[in-house]
Amino acid sequence: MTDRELANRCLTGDRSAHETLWKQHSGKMYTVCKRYFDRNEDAQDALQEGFIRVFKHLNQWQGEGPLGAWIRKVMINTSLNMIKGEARKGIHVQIDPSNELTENDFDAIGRLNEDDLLNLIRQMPVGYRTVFNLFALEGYSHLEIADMLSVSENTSKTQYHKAKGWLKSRLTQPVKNNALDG
Amino acid sequence: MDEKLRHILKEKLDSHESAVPGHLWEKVSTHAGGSSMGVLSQAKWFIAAAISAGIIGLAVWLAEEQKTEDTSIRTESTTQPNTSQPVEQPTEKPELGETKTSASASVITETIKASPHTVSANPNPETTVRLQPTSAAETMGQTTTTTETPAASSVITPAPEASTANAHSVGKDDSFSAVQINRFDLAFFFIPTNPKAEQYRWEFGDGEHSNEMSPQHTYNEPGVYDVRLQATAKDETTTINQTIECFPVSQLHVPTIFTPNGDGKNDLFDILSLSKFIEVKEFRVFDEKGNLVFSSENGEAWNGVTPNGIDAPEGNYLYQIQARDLRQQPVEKSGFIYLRR
Repeated sequence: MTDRELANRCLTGDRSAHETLWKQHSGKMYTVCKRYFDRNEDAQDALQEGFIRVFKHLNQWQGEGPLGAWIRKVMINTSLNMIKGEARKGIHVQIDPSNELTENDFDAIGRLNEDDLLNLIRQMPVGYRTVFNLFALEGYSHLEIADMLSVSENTSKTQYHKAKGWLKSRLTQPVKNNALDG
Repeated sequence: MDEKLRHILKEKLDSHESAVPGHLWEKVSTHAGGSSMGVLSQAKWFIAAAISAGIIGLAVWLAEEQKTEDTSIRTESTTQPNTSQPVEQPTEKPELGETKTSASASVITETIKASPHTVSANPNPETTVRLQPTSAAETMGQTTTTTETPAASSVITPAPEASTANAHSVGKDDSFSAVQINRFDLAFFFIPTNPKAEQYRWEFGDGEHSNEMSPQHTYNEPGVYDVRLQATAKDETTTINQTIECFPVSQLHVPTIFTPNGDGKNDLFDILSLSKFIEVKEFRVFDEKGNLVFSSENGEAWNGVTPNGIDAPEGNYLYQIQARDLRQQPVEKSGFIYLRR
């Protein structure tokens, strides 16, 4: 079944189609939401809320791209809405922002398994994490991020830079798997 | 460098999937149902009020609220032989039977009926378990042997707090029972009165379904649900529709002290934060001289400032709360809270 067919069936209120859509996408989207929250409960709230919106506004998906990409966008927007204020609050941790990632750091990231990397991102302070996710993982520009978070472009750049510094400082330490409950 | 980071992260995480807890779908699916669910949720309060008017001795229900907890309910049901006796009675019960439960064992069982006339026939529903020829308790006895997990069979033991909703078709095979496992949450146990069908399909009315014979299901929202059971035996499918009410007991918990000093901790006299399944209609606070210092009609919290804009002084304050539970029955509470700065 194509995305279009599935979406059309969902739009007619077909419950089994809803469930199919959920089964196809919820796992990946849960990972997306998890990246924005350190607590699983919050990520689950975002996932639920996001999918409720997906079903409610599915008619807005025009088929211009894959359905998965559209759903992902809804998840990101939902997550951002939930962390709105916090992401703008600024920085609580003092680090040296002059650190750029080196080849060694890239190697270190490459050696992490997926879950460890995900957990590492989730441990970032919320301001870094949000910008880092949007820039490095979703591929938005700092200008777009500034718009999404209602901050200045410069703030987005600074936060991203500091996020990299934070990441670098953590890469030299072993990842604490038990720091998060999953 | 940024491009490289993007590339590495994408490779690692783009197709990563996390295991989604099963219960999440329940809530999403109830919202995915479209307009029909909206109508139902609007109608449910009316239905709830209408049905509950004839059924519930709420005062008794609430009086018991603080005494028992989920865990103690389960323990009681397994350690007190008198409460489990109805289960062991022979299944060939000729007539409608009523088993009075004793108050000393603190057994309060509420009976929810789908059909109004059955309800009115019961003079004292809140202290009565009604056993029909093919009713909940006896069927539970039968199903115990076929249920696979020990955990499930311990749930079958009729908890003293259980509510039963029996089908109206007395004496026939085509009915089922929905047992609220305890009064504090939204979990139900569904039992067909005919355990001999080859296939079962339950639709719980919130978008979820199950093919087990006696499934357990937890609703995400209180409300009235239309449950459908399709039982297939010898290529013949019987469909039973039944409405069940899913209204847990209200919990109104009021703090005894608050400190409106602006430190961000316990600055508000908030009666909603600790409470569950309740709708506050009136919330009033008086000082020691009896002057009204705060009132709200929706349970809004008090910040310790009087109507004149002055910080209320330290001391005891009397509060009065009038609220409604999910069945729109009144819940009242009054007492003292200490204001410390």
